[in-house]
Amino acid sequence: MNYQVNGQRSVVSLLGLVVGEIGDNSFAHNVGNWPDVPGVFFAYAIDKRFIVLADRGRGVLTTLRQVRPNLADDSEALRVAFTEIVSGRDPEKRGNGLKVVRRVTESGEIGLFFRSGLGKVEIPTAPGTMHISATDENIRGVYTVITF
Amino acid sequence: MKIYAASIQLSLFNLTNQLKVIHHKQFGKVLVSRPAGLEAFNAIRPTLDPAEPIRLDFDGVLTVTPSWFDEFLTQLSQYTDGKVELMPTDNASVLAILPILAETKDGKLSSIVRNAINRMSGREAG
Repeated sequence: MNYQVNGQRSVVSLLGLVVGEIGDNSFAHNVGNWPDVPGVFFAYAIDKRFIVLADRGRGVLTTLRQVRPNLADDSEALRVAFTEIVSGRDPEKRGNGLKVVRRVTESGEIGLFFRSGLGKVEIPTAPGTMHISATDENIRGVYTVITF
Repeated sequence: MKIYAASIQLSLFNLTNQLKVIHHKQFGKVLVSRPAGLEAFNAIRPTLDPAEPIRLDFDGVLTVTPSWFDEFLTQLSQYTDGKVELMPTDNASVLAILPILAETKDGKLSSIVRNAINRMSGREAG
């Protein structure tokens, strides 16, 4: 299905989807469990065409280990989060959000740089596939840069 | 207060082709978060007849997130036993969410979404 139908308006709509879903996840998966500083850092520079979201929450691995205790590391947790229908709030029937984010960013003119723990997700701004890798710099919580 | 509530209910619904239409712009231009989706459903539920088909109109909405949409549509589908129809839309966020819902949901919710995709794909092809 073609959802790039209205040019600039579509980009804004999809940016709202990506930012709204990732930002809301920070709250939904940390409510009542913020380790220290609650809330989300949010900044943007339209002229430089990027948006930044960050939180000091529990991170993706800790959240998903509630329902997948055998997850080996941050990279595997990120792979599960972006490719499988799973939620850290099981048995609630949810867990589609990051799958939609992945599809939107892979197919459109929106890029994603997503860090949590020692894991890293990169999706290029031009249409392209997701790449997940490990890094040696730990990110407490989640740090996201969205480019467009 | 009663007049205000009645006014909101009247503005939420129009009768078109004997179907109730929920105009999502009444909930806002940017629809974000699962709790907000549930709140929107709870706000309109008292005015719905679960036996009557309902159409969803996204005209005037800029963005819907997957969480909001999933929550609202799941609740509405259960309440009406699947008697929900999505009106054709060119809202990019809605069009991006539909394929994932079709793949991951089952039962009547999946049927609602698949029917919408088929109708809109037919319209694009035409």
